[in-house]
Amino acid sequence: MNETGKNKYVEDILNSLDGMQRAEPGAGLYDKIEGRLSGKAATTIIPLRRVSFAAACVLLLIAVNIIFMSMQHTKKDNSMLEVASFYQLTNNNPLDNL
Amino acid sequence: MLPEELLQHIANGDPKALRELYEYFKTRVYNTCLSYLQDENDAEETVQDVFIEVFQSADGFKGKSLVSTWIYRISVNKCLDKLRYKNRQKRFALVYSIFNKDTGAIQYDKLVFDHPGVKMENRELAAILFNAIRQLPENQQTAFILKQVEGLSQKEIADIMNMNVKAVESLLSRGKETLRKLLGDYYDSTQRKE
Repeated sequence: MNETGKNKYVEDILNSLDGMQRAEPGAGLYDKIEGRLSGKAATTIIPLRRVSFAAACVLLLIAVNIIFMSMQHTKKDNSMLEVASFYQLTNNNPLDNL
Repeated sequence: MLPEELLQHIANGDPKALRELYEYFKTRVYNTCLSYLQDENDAEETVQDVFIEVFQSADGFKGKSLVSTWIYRISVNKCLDKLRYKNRQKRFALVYSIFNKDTGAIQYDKLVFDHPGVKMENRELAAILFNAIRQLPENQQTAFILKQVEGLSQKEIADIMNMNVKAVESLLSRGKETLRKLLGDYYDSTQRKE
């Protein structure tokens, strides 16, 4: 087998793309893209900005709720203490020592 | 309008800007896809995927690279995804054919790809080359296609592949070496048959 012949064959193949022209896509391709986009727009596409804004609103709402609930809890604890002190139901109740 | 401005308009939902950007890049994207997928229908389908992705991610473009680099990167990723999908299908068809001899014929692979842009006198040799390109590892395949088919500079390829120029240089040289080996083996096998 001729090694030079083999090398030439390989180089010819490697150079076979020289002078290649660019191929053109079909004329109706953009219509297909547009069709797919309008189909998707009707069903799934929601701009990322809008999704982020909605997520931020939900998080803010949850945070406000948590703060509000914890404030209510503290207030409830305080009012319980007031009731307890009114009826002298504290740890310092002298009746406990009897 | 410049591609950067077009992207800004696309991010604001302007469909005319997408059409303009498509006209600007369609040939480059289509030829890249054609080189990877070696089938006109698959290439057109992937071009659609690329421009849909461009439309959906336009507002995420930060301008850190050229628009062309960004679009090439999307194209390469979409083509590799499609190739992986096709390979999975081929493997499935192969397994299926073992159990069902009547209907499991492998019909996903075209053996000879005739690129419409190749010179008439080179078509036979180019078909052998495209067949060998298909057998390269993904990174070498990408570097070779972007260099030899798309004619990009090593710097542009490095930007698209998120590598440095030295790494691209090494990929190209290894890719050529692998191709030489594959083509040499092919030559030997044809000589044995004669």
